[in-house]
Amino acid sequence: MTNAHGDVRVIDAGAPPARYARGWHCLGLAERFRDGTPHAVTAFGTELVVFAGEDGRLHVLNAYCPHMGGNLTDGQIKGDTIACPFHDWRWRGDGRCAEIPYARRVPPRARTKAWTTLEENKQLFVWHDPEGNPPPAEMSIPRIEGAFSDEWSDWTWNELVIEGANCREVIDNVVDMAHFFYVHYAFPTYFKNVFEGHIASQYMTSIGREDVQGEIAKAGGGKNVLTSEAAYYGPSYMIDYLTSDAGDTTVDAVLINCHYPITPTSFVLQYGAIVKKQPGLPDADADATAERFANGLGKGFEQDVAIWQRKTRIDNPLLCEEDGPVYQLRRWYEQFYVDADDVTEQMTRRFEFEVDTTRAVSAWEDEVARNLARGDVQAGV
Amino acid sequence: MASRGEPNGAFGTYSAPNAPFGSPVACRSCGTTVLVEKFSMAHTSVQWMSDAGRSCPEFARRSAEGGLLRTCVALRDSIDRAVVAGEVVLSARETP
Repeated sequence: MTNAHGDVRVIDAGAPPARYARGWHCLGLAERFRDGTPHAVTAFGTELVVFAGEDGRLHVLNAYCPHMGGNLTDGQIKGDTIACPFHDWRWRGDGRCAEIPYARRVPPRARTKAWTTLEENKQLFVWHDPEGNPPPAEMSIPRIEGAFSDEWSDWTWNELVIEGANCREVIDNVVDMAHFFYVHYAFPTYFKNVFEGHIASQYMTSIGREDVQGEIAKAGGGKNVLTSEAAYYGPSYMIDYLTSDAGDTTVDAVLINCHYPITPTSFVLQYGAIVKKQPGLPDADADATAERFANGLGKGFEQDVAIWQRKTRIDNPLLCEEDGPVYQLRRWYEQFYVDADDVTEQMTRRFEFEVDTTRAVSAWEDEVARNLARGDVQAGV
Repeated sequence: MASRGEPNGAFGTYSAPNAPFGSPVACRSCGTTVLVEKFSMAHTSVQWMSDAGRSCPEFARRSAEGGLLRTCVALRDSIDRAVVAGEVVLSARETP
């Protein structure tokens, strides 16, 4: 897009979508919702209550009681129901009102919205669809074997509330090779994206930067090769299988990067990690390694947030050939913002893009060498 | 396109800046035709025009096993051969 005076590029900031993505959204580790109290989640422009039934199953209902609007997240779990703090109306996990202690009978239409839930990988998911259709089986969340294995650590889990940005910003990172160098102090040497169906994947090999020494690289004497196979399954849940080779230490990790929208311009970013235990080492070591991985990841997200909070939304990014396929990624992402019947083959047909990293690698090698020559070594993540 | 220098490797010409995406390449193994765009020898962009899991037996087999599919070796070889044969020209297409 150019203006009337010639070739000046004019940013089209567009507007964030009015609707929220269709798909499974992870709300966090399931266990934390099983503490006998109701939990408030602000998402999709509304408020939800999460509570555990007597059998431990987690339920998600609209937070506001349809009787007089009381907030169920301030209520109590009574038996298999959540009781409203306003008039003690008792709501079951399926959305039916089970009992009104002061009334002879429950009105037949006493039903609130029960959101479809899923527990996978020890995490709780809620299904969001503006059309109200049930989740298709093919969009289910894949199982991560390590999450159920004694050979792996427990999940770490963190969340960040991002204000002033639509969650498309975090999706864009799937294709953004160069920002890994400038924002995250990584050094990508191989980068490929594949979009197909509801899955958007990113294959990346990166090496540690000798001028920015991260914790993991430091532990390995500075030579660190990270192999990452990451994929979004639907609009908001990314599984990243990572192998880190640093010196003679190989660490296998699985990272989760997920989010759910609060409003069109705010979202909750969550991330967690599990790490495969090293044979012969105590479990605490694996948990500590997972913690270190997660801390590195957390710093990475903070670096992203610093950019997001100062950048503009941009619908017409100006790309060079070493940039990944931003437009095709957004075409893929669009499928979650239209009605299911309006999803086109253009959005879902397989698309592959392998970046030529030759020029980037040589430019970055030069930059690292210059920094080292100046004695400019930063502490990394 | 003088500022871009001469095309290298097997490429003889550049596409026009307003050319449509890619050149058709048929897989020598299964015959599936995809559109291929190359900015350079090392860069490859592939747009499938069919459901990969149905039209390509290799994808059908591997997607049945689950997991992610980074590439199909037979298709990649077919693309490399098409480049050598001059059937894929270096793209000078402008992004929007």
